[in-house]
Amino acid sequence: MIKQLATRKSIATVTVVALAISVLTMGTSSAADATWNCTPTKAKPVTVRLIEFFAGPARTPLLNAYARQFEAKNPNVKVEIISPSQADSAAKITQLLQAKNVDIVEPAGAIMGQAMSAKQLANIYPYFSKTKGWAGLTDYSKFQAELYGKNTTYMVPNGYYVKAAFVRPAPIAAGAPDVLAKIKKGTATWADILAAKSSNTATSSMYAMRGARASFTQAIFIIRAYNAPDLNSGGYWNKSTKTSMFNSAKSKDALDLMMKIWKEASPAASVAWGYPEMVQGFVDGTANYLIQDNEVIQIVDEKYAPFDSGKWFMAQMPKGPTGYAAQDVSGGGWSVAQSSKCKNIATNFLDFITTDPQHSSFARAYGVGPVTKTAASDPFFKTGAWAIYDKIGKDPKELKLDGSDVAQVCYGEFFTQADKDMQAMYAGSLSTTDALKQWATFWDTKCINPVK
Amino acid sequence: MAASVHKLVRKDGKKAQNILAPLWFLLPALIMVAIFIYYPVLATANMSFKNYKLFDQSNIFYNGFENFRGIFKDLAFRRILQNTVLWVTVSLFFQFFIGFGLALYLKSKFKFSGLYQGIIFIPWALSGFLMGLVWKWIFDDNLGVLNDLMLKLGLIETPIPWLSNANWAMAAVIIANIWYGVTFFVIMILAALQGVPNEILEAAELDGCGKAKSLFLVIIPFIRPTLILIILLRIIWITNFPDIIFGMTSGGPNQQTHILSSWLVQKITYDQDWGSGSALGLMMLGVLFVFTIFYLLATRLEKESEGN
Repeated sequence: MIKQLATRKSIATVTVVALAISVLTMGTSSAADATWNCTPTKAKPVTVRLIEFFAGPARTPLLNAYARQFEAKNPNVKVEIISPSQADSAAKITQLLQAKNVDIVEPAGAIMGQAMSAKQLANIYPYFSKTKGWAGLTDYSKFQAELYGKNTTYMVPNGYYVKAAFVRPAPIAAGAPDVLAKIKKGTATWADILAAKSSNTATSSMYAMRGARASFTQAIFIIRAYNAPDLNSGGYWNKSTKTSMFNSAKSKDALDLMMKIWKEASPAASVAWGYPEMVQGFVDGTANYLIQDNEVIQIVDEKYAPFDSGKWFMAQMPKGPTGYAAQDVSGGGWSVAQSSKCKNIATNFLDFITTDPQHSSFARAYGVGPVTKTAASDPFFKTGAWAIYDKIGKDPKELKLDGSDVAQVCYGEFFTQADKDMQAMYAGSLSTTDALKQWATFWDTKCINPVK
Repeated sequence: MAASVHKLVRKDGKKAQNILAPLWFLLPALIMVAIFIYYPVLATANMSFKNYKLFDQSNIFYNGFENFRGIFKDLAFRRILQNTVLWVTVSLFFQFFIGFGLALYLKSKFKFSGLYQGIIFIPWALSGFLMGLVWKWIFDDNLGVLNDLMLKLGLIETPIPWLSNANWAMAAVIIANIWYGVTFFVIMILAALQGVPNEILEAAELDGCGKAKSLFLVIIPFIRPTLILIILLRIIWITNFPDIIFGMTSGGPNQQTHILSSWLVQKITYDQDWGSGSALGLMMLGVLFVFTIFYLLATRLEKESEGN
């Protein structure tokens, strides 16, 4: 008996001591986390590895220049920029995060959700919120930075991608002048885009459809336009029915219309078009109406004609039957990897590139919407081709969605499946009804319903 | 085996040392092969039995044969398998015969033959993916130089939908692959032809062999081992060559130009489904392994029967 009591006593003592140690360790873990307290020395230099998602000639040289400037200001720090081709970047970023061999990543598209679910990204808010970079962000950028919760930052925005229409007026004026007038006014609907097939010629078509990777995004534009304003802030759920928007009868009308636009108003070759082919199709005149992000302005300006030439103009996206359109105004951005051995240095570099004039130059050169207050007030982003974004910003009937649904873990799987379904619809082996049924089931069963 | 080595050591220590010495020299290479070939194969085999999707890394578990079942059940599988057979046989047929013809032509000395050889070898030095991108623009439905030329020559009235129609797209990627792979056969067959002794050819000529007879009765039998090996290598390489397809069509439209290896790349990179990708990789390894054994056995049996 005494022996039993003694054993119990010793077990209890060990448990209490273990608990005390773990509580003490928990309490001090963040403060004593060596990865937030790196001090680079000559003997122990620090290398910060950053991988881009959207590497390209307009931004990669600039990032490398910033890396050299940062190194000059921070002795014993080396910044290594990894710039894979955009076709490979998703896989490369995922691999580097898995291998724990990277400090800063640009988790675009579906990577953000998957990296968050795997706890591969660090919350940099406690450190970053005290920097000049944080102080300089616009309110919306701060909102985006805290998308995963107040006082948490898993991604610092580096630019906004807003969709608008690139329009070649001459061919549309020849075949569909009424539609051109509506496009100019910003009142054109998706049905008008189909009606403008009358401007098709033997060598050019009205609409630059996307048939290759990310083709389902085209369907999302039109489905949202038909469902708006009955959408949640992330843009995948109907507020009225509290289920995914793919269940609604309006979505069926929208998708049927899109398939008509594809068959009747788009080049046949666009079934194989991805991002570069769509842009090239607009530049060479194969298609006269292109919906793309702001960074395309620079490409069209250089490859086709300067904006001032009047050969092309910018317009708002087409609207649905109720006069609404909706799109994600969420940006790309940078995240610090949880596995980074020197998070303070990595965050310092993010601070450096997020402050102006660095960010302002980056946004101008790459053609993305600015994230800082000073860059946002730059007249460059309010004139010429960029003036359309001011108009979009002020239009209450063009809903600005926050990207919270796209950031869900389920989005990656949806992305790949919906792309395959789009191809099957183009090929005629899947009906719009069946596709919508699958998408609705997917969102209703595999994703988190924020409106329930 | 161990006993015999032991015996050798006891009888003649020096001799045993001589036997073990090559093993020591081979050891670094064996270690490298083990790390970079066998370990990845074993890791792939392990992963092929797991639900391993990068989209949801919190949900990784062993799922038995589910990945293999998924591949067979996939609606695209049948078409992809047909495409793979078509891709390998048609590409190999034309690559071999064009390559053989060019090699025979290049063997004869003519003005600037060295320069001509250099030009012919260029494709082999280029990246397959890059070549895929180049061919993509050549075959582009609207802007491609091929459609433009054919229209101007009056060969066609409307542009051919090279990359937007599944059948035309398959033809386009195979044409590009034929162009790319001819060089390999030219290099290898030319090297083999240069090894045929002139004395034999002269003797055949004295015996009244014409050029065609010399080719079939002297040259081809002489370079037969090389031909068997390069055809085998090429079959394996073409099967495992997704580069041009990815550059030209990424497997589209509607996954209709995928072959097994490009489908595998899609599963790993775009779908991020490493479990299914590994299962597919393992299946391909198995099929190619069995094919290689049968191919080598068949060619050996054929040789033996010829000998008898």
